[in-house]
Amino acid sequence: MNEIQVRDLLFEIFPPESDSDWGDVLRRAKRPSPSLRRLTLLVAVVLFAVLAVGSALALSGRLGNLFHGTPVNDLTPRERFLMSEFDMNGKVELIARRKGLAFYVVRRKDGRLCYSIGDVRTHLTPAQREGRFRFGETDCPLGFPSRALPVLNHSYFTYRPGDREARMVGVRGFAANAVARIGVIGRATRSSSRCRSRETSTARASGDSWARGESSPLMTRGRRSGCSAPRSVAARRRSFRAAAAAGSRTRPRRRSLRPSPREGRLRRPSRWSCRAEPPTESGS
Amino acid sequence: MAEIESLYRERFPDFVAVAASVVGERESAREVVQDAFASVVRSHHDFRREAPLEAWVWRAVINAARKKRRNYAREAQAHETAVAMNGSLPHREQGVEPASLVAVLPERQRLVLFLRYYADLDYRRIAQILGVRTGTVSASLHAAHNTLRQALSEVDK
Repeated sequence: MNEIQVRDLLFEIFPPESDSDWGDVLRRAKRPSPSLRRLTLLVAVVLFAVLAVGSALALSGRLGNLFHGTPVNDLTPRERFLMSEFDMNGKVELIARRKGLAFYVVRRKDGRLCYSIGDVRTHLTPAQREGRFRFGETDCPLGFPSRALPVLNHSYFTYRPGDREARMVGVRGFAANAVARIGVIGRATRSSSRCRSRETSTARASGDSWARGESSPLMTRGRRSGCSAPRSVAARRRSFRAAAAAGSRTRPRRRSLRPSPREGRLRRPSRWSCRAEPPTESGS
Repeated sequence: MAEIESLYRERFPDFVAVAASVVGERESAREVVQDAFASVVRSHHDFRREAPLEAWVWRAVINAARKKRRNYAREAQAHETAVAMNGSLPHREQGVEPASLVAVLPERQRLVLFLRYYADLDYRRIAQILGVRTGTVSASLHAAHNTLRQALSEVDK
């Protein structure tokens, strides 16, 4: 087969045609190229994924989890045992110390975080060191820190004889970085600022806790479960006047609105104080 | 830009034929050529003139054709055209067509054949387009001749 035969063969396969359309080429050139379209789509998908997943993670509190601190490496065998009993096995970090309180974060092996407040004790004897358990009230909330749950309230309460409800003694807990101020809504007897936040304010009351963000005036407001707030002064006065008007013989005992010396001594929180249930009617 | 346009108008049938030799279908080959020229027009500012413009355009068309063929193969592995391109030598009893004779050639030999005898390019230009040595072009052409000769002799038997 010579060259002429091959050429004839090829021209027989594809006879020459001249239906060229340069205008069509120019029109196609003006359209974005398929690779550019694919790239744009890819970038859009990635951007969407980053924003959506990022927002979801931020809302779920995982991205907003910025609590980091010094690793605690001197856990005693007893502490390790008790932590395993409380399902808190993991890496412990000391994130802050405030006024005799130590704030810990425990990174559990399943990825969940626990937040704990304990006391700072130094100069312990070997026996004391061996028998100590430095973690007090501990919480492993799912959605903290997040916009829905910016504050983890570990405030502590106490009861006095005759009290019908728990009485808040001190405010403490954990706050997300976005939280600017912490406070307690209402009026009450005693307050203290023990919450960890960028800027804490002195709580002036007991009852509902609130957290204010940097951008919004009020992020959240909620009462800690299991610990009800004492009645307000106005409610107490209303109750007293109603009883007086009814001529009741058993007038309610008028209580001072100022903290008693005993309350003043209760600045130091008792461990697990917040776990205690308020006394019932019959028990009070 | 004018250079590209004149090349397009002058060589359009050659481009379509060479693209069809890769894709296996004339209509798709025409689309390939249009798209390839559109991409050349879009990116002609990036052309650094290290090689002749014609070689650059030829390479764009061949690359687009190869890409199209890969897409075809991916979309339908049992695509008839693809099978015909890679199939065994057909017998005369089955109705031998010229396209079937060329279809048995490997892609490089087919390209060299079309670039040499259809587009009438010299060995040096074909080597530039395919990114191979001139000797490789010569060897591929020789092998294509041999295969075609053998195929025709088998058909004649």
